[in-house]
Amino acid sequence: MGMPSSNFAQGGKDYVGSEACKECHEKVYGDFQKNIHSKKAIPGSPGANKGCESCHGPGGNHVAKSGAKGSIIAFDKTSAAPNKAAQCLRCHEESKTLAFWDMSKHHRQDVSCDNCHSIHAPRAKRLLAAKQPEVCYSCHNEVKLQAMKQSRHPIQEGKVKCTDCHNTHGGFSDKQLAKDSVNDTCFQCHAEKRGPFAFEHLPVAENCGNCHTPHGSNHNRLLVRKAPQLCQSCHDTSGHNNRAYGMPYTFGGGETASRKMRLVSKGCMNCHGNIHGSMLSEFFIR
Amino acid sequence: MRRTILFLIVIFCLMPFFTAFSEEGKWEGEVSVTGKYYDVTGEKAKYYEYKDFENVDDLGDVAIKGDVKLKYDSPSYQMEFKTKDPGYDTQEYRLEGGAYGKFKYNIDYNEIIHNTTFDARTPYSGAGGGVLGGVPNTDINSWNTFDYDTQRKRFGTGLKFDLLKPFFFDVSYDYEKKEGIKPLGHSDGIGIELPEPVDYRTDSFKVEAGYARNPLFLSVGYFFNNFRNKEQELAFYDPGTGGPNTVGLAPDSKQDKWAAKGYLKLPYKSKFAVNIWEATTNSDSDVFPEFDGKVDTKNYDLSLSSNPLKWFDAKAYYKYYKRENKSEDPTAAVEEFFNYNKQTYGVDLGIRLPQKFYLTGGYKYIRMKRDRSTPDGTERLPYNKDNVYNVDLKWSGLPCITPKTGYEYLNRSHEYNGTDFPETRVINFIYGAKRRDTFKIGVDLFPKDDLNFGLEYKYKKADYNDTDLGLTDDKRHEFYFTGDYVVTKRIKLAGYFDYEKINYDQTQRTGDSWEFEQKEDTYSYGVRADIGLIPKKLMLVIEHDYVDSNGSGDFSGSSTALSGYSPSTLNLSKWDDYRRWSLKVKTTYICTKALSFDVGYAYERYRYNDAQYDGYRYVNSTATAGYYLTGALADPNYTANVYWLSMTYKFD
Repeated sequence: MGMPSSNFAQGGKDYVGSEACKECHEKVYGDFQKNIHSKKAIPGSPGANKGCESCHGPGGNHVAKSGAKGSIIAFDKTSAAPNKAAQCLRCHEESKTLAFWDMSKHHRQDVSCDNCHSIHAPRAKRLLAAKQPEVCYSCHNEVKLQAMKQSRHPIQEGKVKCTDCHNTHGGFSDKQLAKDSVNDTCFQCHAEKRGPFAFEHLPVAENCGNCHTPHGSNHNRLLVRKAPQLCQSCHDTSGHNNRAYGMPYTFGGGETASRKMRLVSKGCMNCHGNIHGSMLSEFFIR
Repeated sequence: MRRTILFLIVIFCLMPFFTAFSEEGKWEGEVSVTGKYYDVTGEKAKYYEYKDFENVDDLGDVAIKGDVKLKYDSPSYQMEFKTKDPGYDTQEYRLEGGAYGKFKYNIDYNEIIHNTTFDARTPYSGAGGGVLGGVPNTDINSWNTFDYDTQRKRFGTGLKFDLLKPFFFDVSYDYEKKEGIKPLGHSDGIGIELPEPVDYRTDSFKVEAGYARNPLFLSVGYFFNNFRNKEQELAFYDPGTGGPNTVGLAPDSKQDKWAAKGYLKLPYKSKFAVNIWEATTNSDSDVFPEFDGKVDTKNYDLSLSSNPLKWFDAKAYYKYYKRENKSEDPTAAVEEFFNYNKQTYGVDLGIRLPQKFYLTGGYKYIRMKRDRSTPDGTERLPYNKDNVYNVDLKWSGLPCITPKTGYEYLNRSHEYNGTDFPETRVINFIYGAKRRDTFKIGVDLFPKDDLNFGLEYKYKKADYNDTDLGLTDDKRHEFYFTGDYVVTKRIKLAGYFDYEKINYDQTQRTGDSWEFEQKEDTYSYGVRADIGLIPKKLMLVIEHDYVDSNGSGDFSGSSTALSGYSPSTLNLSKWDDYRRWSLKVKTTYICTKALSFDVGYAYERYRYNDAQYDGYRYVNSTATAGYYLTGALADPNYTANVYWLSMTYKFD
């Protein structure tokens, strides 16, 4: 997004040194000494460069104005997101992680680095302001609700992190997926579904999202809807595909046992178990 | 071999550690011991879905966990070691570190347990293996019990070199073992739920090298993944055929992938970026050895982004993704192989307007081509073309309020054989025309430094107007609220409320068609209070969360279409209805800066009702032309009381 303009802050040309910052910001200064940015061993780091003023700009004006707001580069709500991101990208753009930041939806939606990271008060690894998934929930409320539903990945337990599937810093995929398709993302952990199978189930081969929703679902196995109606939205050949399976087909209903199998428990998958693909049966029953 | 590699990596990574001791370095760490007692009634597997415990005779379910965090930091070297839940099926260990500006390493081990159902039943013996013994019978009291659960054990290690900046080099290796049992359905006249053995091994290897210095970034990489299934076949006595039968399980598969990506900075703050990769996946199955499974996937991305003016930025992009099934079957049992390619063209714009308005918008065109290779040639499946438009507006004129709104419109058309879809052909919703409107509006409020709120509403409606089969309509309302308030230095409050309402309509054709309307109403809320009873000495946290969902399914249609039933007889009033109520109370006593104690209590209650599971029966009375089930996911209700005591000691 380019270098910050002189309008970003009315910092003057004078650098005063980090010791001057310490006089008013002692706790922040102390915490910063534990921060990776303070390490002189890293070429080009703030610690090896101008300390606090590497990111906040020259402090001469700020000191002269007794710390008045607007007299130095600040990473707060009043500063524009691109300007804040540009400060970080001066060093971090030349890295694998942030090389494609300007292509990301986060960048397009005016998310800046300090929305997720906290240099001076990190609470999690990678200088995050909060652990995953809480740091992501602060904007992605809908995912928080999904992750609380009865069928879910272990997101709340911290066993599956948002960054296991998503590239928060930008890439080439839709929904900022870490891989270039939904299926490639899912196969990272579910390689047993990858096949290729002799008898493929086309919606599976095309997109896992045709039947599943990854963050959480009211329905078992993260299904978008329940079988048999989920399956019947594509399959209606004559015979049992077409039937309207309702209360008479439940365990307590009056229908025959073989017909009940099409609704109770897993519905269609009671018989069509190899639903992701089969090596032996085009109907996925073996 | 694996142990040798691990040993060498550990030695290499720790070598600078010994010289680092000679510098001014600092140790700090934390040790905590927690004892937990669980009193869980009902379906324990649902409560312990992703948790582990020990069952001790005369005591019940307990967990005693000791976690360690150890950190070393010096001006040139750092190292961190963490453990979580050692000895349990959720245990994690991680060692990472490196020399600043030179290299980083990580070695980690992670286990994930997924409990599905405890004390499931099967008429067979040998659950968990590839051969099931016995013959099914209807006396479920004679059946064998087992647990449906799977456990992943993952070991990973990686090295990143920055020593030769701007060149970088990364290498990583992961090994995962997944074992357990999961439910598998099968039928050859009689439906039967089988305990499928899970015994997988997966190796993944990645190497990447590149150059990163403006104006150029370039990276090339190779990725290899090898999945092996030790049980590719499940043998059992099949009551449907009256004799032995087998079910084929997941085949072994290997994937090779070569990838390159990069960018070149251009004038006017522009950047041209490219991403290219090609992969080949091969499968190999013991149950069908003649089948030579092979799928090639290719992906090409081009992107041009630019920020030529302070108030304007744009991105134009193209993506091509292709899946080609090149499998071969000399037996001719397999007659069709699925291929598709997806092309996406798009442009995104961002315009900073006066008065701190920020307008973004975009257009995307997606063309999805599908076909099926058959012995007679290639059969073209319906193609789709999507036109997607979006616009978002945000205002940040005041620091105390940020309102935003957005709208997206998707218009999907379909084609078959180059013409409009012939009337004799069924239009399935998944291929058919679609129009979707998504509208959202939200506001973030920060009236004071210690008070903030967020409100958001989203409406989404998809119409599948040409559908003959499947969804015709999908409508959603979503509402979200979050809030944080620091009442005083000693009291902080936080809360949220989320609501989602979904309606699906679908249509089926049977000569006379019938319709099905599915509804889901879900809401959750939570409140939390952090109270400093005695500042910096005694803290109290009270937290309550609640999730509630109600679903239903209503039928409509003629008696003929509904197989002689009336809609009211068929309607499903309990369709994944559940409530989860939880309360947590924790007191922390801080003895000294280094030592603190926690005492806590948690209560959780889960109740579930669903027409597919209510009145669950493992087997019908005669089990001829019937079914055998094992109880997977049946009756997941539970009530849990958990008590814990923990001690944490920090040192530096």
